[in-house]
Amino acid sequence: MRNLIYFLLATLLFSCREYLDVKPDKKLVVPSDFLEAQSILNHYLFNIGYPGFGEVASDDYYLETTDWQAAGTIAEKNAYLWNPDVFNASPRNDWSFTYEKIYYANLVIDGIEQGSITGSCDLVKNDILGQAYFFRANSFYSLLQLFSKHWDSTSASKDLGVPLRLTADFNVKVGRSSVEESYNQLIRDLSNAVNLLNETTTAKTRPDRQAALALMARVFLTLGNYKEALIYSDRALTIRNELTDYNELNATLAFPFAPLNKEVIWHSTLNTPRILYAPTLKISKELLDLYSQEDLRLSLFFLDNSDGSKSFKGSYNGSSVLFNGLSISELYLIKAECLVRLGLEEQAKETLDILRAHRMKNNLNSVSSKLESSDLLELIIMERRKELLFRGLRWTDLRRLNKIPEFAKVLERKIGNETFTLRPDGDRYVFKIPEDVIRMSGIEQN
Amino acid sequence: MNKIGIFGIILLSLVFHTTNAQTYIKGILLSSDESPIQGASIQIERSKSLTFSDHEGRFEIRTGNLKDSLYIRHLNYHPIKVAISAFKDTVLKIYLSPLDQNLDEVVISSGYMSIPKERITGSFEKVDQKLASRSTSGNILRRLEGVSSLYFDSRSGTSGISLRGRSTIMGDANPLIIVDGFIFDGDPNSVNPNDVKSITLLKDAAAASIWGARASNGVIVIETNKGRLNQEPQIDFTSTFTAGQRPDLYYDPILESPEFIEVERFLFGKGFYNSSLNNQRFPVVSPVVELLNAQRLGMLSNQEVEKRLTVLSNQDVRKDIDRYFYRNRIIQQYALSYRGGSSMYTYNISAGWDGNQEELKANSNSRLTLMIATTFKLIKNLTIETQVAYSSSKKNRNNSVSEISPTGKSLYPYATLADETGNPLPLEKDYRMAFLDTVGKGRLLDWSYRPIEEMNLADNTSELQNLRMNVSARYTFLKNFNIEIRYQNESQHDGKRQHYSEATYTARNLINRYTSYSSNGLTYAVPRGGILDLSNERSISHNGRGQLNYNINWRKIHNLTAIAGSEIRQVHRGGNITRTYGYNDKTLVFGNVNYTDLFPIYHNLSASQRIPNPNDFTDQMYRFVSFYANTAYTLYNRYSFSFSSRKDASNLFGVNHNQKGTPLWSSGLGWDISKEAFYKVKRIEYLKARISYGFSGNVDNTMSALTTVAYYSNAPLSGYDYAMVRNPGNPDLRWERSGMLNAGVDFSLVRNLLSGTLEFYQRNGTDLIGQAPIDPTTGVNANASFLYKGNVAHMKGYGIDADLHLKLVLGKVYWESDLIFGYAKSKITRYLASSTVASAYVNLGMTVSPVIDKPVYSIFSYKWAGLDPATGDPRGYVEGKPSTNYTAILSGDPATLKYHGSALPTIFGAYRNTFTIKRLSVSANLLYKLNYYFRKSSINYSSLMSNWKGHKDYTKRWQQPGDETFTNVPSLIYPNNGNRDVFYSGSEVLVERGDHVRLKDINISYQLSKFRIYGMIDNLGIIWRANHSGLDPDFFNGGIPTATSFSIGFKTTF
Repeated sequence: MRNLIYFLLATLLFSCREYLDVKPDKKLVVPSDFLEAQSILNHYLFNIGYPGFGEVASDDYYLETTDWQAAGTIAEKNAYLWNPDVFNASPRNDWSFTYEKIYYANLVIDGIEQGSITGSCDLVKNDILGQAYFFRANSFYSLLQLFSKHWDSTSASKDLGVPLRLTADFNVKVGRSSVEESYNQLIRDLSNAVNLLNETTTAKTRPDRQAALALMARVFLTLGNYKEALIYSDRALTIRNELTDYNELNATLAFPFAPLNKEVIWHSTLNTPRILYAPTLKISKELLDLYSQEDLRLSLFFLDNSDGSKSFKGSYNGSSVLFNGLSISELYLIKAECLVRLGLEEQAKETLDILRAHRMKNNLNSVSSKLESSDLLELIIMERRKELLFRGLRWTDLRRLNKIPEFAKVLERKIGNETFTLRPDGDRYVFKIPEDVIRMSGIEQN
Repeated sequence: MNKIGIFGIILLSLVFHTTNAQTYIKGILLSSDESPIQGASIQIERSKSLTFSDHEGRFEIRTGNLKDSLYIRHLNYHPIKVAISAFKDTVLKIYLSPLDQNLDEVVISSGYMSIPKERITGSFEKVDQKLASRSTSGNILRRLEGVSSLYFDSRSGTSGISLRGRSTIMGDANPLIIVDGFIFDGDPNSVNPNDVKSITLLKDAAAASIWGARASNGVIVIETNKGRLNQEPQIDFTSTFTAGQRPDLYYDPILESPEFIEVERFLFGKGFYNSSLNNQRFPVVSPVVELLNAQRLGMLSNQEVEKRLTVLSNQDVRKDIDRYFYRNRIIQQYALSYRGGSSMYTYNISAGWDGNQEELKANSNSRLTLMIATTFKLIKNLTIETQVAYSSSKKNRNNSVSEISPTGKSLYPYATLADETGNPLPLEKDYRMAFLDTVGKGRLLDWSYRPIEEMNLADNTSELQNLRMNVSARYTFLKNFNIEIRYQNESQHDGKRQHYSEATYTARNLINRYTSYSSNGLTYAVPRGGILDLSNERSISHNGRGQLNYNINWRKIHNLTAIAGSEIRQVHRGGNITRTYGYNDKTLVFGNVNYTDLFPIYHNLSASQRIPNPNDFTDQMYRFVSFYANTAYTLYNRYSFSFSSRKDASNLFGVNHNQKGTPLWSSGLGWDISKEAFYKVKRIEYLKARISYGFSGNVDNTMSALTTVAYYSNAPLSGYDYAMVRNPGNPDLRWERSGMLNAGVDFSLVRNLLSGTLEFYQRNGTDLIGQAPIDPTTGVNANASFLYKGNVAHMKGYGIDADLHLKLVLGKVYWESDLIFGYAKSKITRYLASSTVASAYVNLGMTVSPVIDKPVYSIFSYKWAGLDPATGDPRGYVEGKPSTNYTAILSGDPATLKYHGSALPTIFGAYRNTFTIKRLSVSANLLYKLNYYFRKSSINYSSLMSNWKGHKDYTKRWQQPGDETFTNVPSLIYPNNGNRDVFYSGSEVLVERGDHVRLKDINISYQLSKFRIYGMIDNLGIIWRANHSGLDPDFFNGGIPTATSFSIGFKTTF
């Protein structure tokens, strides 16, 4: 009898290993191959929820006092008036959402670098790594626009940047790097992405080489490095440069632009607070006045409210959620601005004309050939504002243009009888880091 | 304690001594196995003198009249009368039949082995059939409320049960349920309580060392009825009818119509609704706002508006809801069983049917249960047992009262659901009513939502079927050994069908949204017709067990029971959800849809969308392999020793093979002091002390050391499959470990007048898995709240369980008093990385607030500095001074919070009194929950403005200076400050003591020889409470207390 028991136990033990190696849930995996790594990067979080409060604090719109009072969250109310308490009401905010993207990207980068994610095809591996580097760089860039001072070559090595989390291991502590180091890191990531990414991709939710080049152009423009920005925008435009002719669009639609349309290089959206939806968001008169009657964007971008004001409907996301991805039109504007800044006025005008022809009724391109260089720059920057509104870019533009006296601007808000202002050198151009982050990580507050 | 009898045979021997005119009768009551019967009352009929049998079954009584009779009564046996003259100088054997044929020696079954209660060293609690059938609930677990130490957390929104408080922070705190020797994976509702023979609760560390890691919260062992060898065929029939009152909808402290309208007018004047009224997407606005808007636009005269507002302010929607959505609850229960046995086999066949017309109109459920259990003694040494149990529970879920409110809002109190003649009226649901009236221009399907009609159109049914089959063979050899092989297959299928015909709002709304209009006519992206959602969940488990048993009783000195075995178990769960559009229930035709493309939404009500596709598939497989050994050894029937240990291994994910298992053990000692020769305490006939200690572990199987991701289909825009991090890898993940000490005494004193059990336990949990806030910069986002799960906490708990029975005969009245007392205290002794923000600890007491030296569930609040006399703003403290800087208060140091106490009762239990006069028995049960706190709701202006959720405290709000002397309700301000509401809701003025005593039920039963008739009143309500707000602490934050119900029924045996 005893032998029988031993036999039974032995049989059980022997087969135990295989028996218990079955996956408990078919939907669950420990990522180990490129396909699984790609699935992580397919997560839609990489395409939504980029920092949106810069747009709340920008000057392309205003709120009625009643709507400001009725606003749902303290974050929106405070950001609108540039009060410092914005990101403390909820842990789900621009900071945490963006670091979550960095965590996902790091999972893939760690996995491939440490060898836990493997596969045979180097082409696939490069493309996946390239996507992860792109996402990480874009996230760092987005954070820097809100939580650090604007790039200033005289102080960038001392100004506080953002924590550069380069691993998914949450036990590793990381402090704030300088603005210079932060940009250096994200440019390194982006150059990796440029080298590793496929030239084209299957869906615009996934970055390809053109996306990396376009982001590089955006970053260098932010840094005021017009030479590099020109090189990258040119390189990006050689891959694909087709623009949508706005004459072909139907302005009666609720949202005239389809997501992933022809002009989109890579798709992403902002974490869009409710007050930026129609009808509370009201386009500032100053901005509306910039559009001529021939400008198709007037009817395609703006929605008539019943009280005579206008709201925004021109998101390339085809909804009230604001698009902040990369588009061909942005490349034209970067290129034009860099050209004029580098003294190449003629080419700048040509570049601008291509864009304007796609925006005006009957494809008119009306840039006079007799413009002074400084007027041309002003025209290009105005065109940039008219084209790239509500894409999360205005905040960065305000920050960088404030460094140039002619473009510097004092922002104003009115609530009831009270007026609030933000001066070009105002502290509030840098948002406060959420208090819970400061407490838990011990990093320095702005 | 020793009310023991085996198969109801009582040997009564009486010896007479005659002195003078008085006669002493001495006797012993014994059961067939010669163990004494204790606690029987022996009364001389005429003289009324009375005595009880002691722990040896002896009694002695004096009588002067030899023509008199003895009346012998015992709780578990039919009473018997014996003429004194009938056995003069003789020994008379009297056979008593037990009241219940199932009555057994008190044997405790752990599910693996059964041993007599006297030999137990750990904490086991037995609920017999009689006690479990005191309640008429159709749910076996519910029947344990108030008759066992099982604690029911019935606070709104929770339905947990627990034994001895919480031992875990994150994990499932529910005890493990065992039915007939195997882990029960099904719905406990599929067990018919009438089939249950006994229930045993395993409360100490032995639970886990016997049943494995999943049992660390205790175990509920349920055994069902079986036939017995050589039993006459017996038929039992039970029938119960229950009627319940309608719930009191007026308990909910809503803001009533006049005040609600007042607030809406105030907000309208401030322009609060302007953006909604101007919104081209036409969000819902209330009828009052619509009226005020019409007035502002000059479309209605002031008088007309005032007139209509007066009408509205006299309406109360609760009247309509009560009338159209509620009714009296009616439950019918029938159970029939037939059992018996010959010398070769036994059988038990039972069937039960329950029908429940729920208090929500159009909701009903029914349950059919069938069971067949047989035993065959094929050859002398081999016994085969088989059991098949089937149950089918059907539900209709057509009441729509929970969906009556506009999406994302509460219903305004002045709504009407029907006109005077009862015709259903429409309510706002997703869009503004004025918009719906004009949008279709006759092209669309009717777009209005009529709640009463929806209930009549609803067609939602589900059926849960559970089939359990087991077979076991036991072979006895070498006299003391037997080997047992058991196998059980349990399959459960839960099928749900939700059919939204084209007439339902759900279908009409979806069809209309996806309709587009052009010169060519209408196109429907969602096809015309109904929508059919089917979901199926299947679970199949296989359990196999091989066990060797050894049992020896050597010279009545050594008594050893030992078992060893191994078990293998697999649970496979799978499911799918499918949706069909364009479905026609009459012809079974259906339509095609395009899930890929974006479609414009009618009238630009939103951006283009895909057609909703809820299809889903699940497939999960859990496997366990376990080895275990249990032993119980008793020396001289006095000293007991027990040991049990178990090792489980499972296919836990992301864990290395050798980390998948952990050994669990427990050991105990018992000592029957009253059997010792030196024991001379006459008043305490029985005294036993026992102690046990054990060590168990648990792991949260949703966690793993490696990063795991879960797959999802159809990412928005790209349509790709994508993976989400389910579990951030945690290389430091360890098993939760917990040690539990249990010490208890069992006693009976003064001739069994008082008997009971007293137990003390202590639990020490280390490396408990909990959530801790993590720096969001790490990007780890478990459950989207930037919390991470890990071994973060140590916890200590201790408590006392007491179970006391008092039995008294007062003339003709037999009085039994039962007290169940529980005292449970736990505190966190270490917690890594707690939040540093005060607001993280202020909650309703249903989420963990980890503070060292405080219970897991605690009530903390912001200190209150009164209302600001000038503004009516609520004030807290910042740096010791009254302040209205709410941001600073909410994000302040947690140490500034006021600690009230535990959010769960630390003292709880039941007190039951039963009076029996001859055949009539009346019993009442009180439940008490003491020494805890709860946070009551009050006005939250943010919710009132945005979600239309009011509270009657609004009427007590501060309105002018001076009001702060008698009210704590803040003033209404505009614009509102959300943090002001958060502060007030979490302030100390809203915390109340939860202590209360509830009259759970009153039960009356009358026993005729084979026929018992009973009546029961359940949920009579609170009879004492510490709070002064008239609140039921179980329903403090929404929810309506369970209404009283009345039952009547009978049970017959023949």
